Amino acid sequence: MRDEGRKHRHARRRGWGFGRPKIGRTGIVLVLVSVSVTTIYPLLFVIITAVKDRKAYILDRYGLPTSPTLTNFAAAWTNAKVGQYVWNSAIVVVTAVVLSWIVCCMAGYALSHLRFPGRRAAFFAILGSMMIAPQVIIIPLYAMLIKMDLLNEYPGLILVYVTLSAPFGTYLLTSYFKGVPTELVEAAQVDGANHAQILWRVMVPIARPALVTLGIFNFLWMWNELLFALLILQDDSVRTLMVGVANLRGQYTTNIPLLSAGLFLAATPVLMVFMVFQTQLTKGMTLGAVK
Amino acid sequence: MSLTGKRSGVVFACLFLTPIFLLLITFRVVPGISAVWHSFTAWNGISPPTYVGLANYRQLLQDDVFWTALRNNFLLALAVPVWITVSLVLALLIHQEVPGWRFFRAAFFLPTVLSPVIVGTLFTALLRYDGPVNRALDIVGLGAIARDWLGNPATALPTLMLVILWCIFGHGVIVFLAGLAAIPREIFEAARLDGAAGWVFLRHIVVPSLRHVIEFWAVNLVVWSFTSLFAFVYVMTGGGPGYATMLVEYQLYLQAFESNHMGYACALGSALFLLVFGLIILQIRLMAGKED
Repeated sequence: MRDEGRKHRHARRRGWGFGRPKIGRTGIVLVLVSVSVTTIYPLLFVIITAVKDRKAYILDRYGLPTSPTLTNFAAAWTNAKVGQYVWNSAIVVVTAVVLSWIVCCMAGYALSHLRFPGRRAAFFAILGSMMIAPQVIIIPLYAMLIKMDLLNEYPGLILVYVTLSAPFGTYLLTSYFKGVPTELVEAAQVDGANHAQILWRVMVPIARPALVTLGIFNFLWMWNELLFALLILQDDSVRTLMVGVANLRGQYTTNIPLLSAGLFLAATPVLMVFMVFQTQLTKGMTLGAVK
Repeated sequence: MSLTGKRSGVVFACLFLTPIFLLLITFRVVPGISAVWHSFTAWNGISPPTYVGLANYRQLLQDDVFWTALRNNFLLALAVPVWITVSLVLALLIHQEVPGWRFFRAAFFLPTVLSPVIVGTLFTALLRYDGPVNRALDIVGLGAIARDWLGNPATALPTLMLVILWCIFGHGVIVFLAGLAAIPREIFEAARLDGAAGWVFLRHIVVPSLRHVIEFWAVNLVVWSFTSLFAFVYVMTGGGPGYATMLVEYQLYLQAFESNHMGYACALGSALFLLVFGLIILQIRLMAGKED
């Protein structure tokens, strides 16, 4: 056992090396460690600062907290209304993620397993809509949503998010469904199932990994999005978390501990997704790059 | 008409494609066309627009703020090779599978899941004159170069670029790691036996084998640098000091929603569209290339 381990390590060490003679493995680790410090320290700073009270922060900005407190979190949650903004964001994002699944599943199934004239054209029309960059359309979209009475209404932002997520989602699911053998669809048809039933009972269970990837990907960008949220949900009562945080920044510039607590709370959902779903996330983010 | 018969495919195709086309037409295509049409009008968003021909575009060509914003956008796009090199080198280092490589991969990836709003707010606090960054410089004896990094016209744009790099290099690392995983190890082994190392190795072995992935990522980054940096600017600098960090998409936002020059903002949007149009087609082709 031990010998094998050594052999393996040995094989790795004499493996192929990038600049090995010059840097060496210790050098590589050093570089990686120092870059990691730059990505992790800022977040650590936020957490450490968030548990200090204001006075402790002014006395010692960088040290570890001597008497940690959770009052900043409570203040951010209620006084700065982070709690309410989290709720608003959750309503918008969860609904949009679910609707995006439904819309993209239907489109993906049609484009991968149904025979109809103009299938290729439909696929490229959907991808082609990406040519219209979101920033270009915000003004007419804004005017249109006012006319449709969707300004300051959740459905306004939800529909925009679903639309923005549709081309990529359809692309992802179309290619995934294409990998499902036609025989499965045909067998289900012989059993008397129609296409809606096949999609729901055969395709969706098989495509679960792709759906998870799409869901996480959508959750992240929708949760983090600022521009459309800022314009469409302006009222304080419907404001999303990122818009709320952007406002906090102006309001609490001098109260860094409170600001830090707010930032930490705002980042918690994505950090949790990051920890739980790292593999799926990685897959989603490299899609289209390799193969 | 039967729901399970031979022709049911066409029926269901219509059914399944209606929602997506309805959404795309209503919330993307129509506003897109409307933006182009309104770029030929004077419009304040309240009273009806009036046709003014090319006036907005003429104004655009004489607008110093627009040219500054455009220059800043191009400077950001010019930094893309640097962003790519950083990600590529780090991906190669992680690919050596030194002890703890999984941890490093996760650590690099961490900032990419955070919202630009959070990253921007955080770095605004860190980069203040009395913030931790300057304090760290002081400790290592570089106190002389300490300054208000985002408030100084000379350093604001480069600092913004660094923060953006911090935020996205991990995504590049993940993309390149996926690309590297697809390359047979024998290729690297052969290169090693030939004594290729460092720059030669990078230039003649890695870059050619990853050509497709690098192309894909570069196009993404350039499009991104023209169209997706609104939140960073909104949170960190507001385009200032002066117009030092003004970008076209941020000027569009200000013109439309702060000054109510909706017609002019539509012209800015159309200009932005023309700028990235070709690039996005390239992006779609790289994505869809594998579909054929």
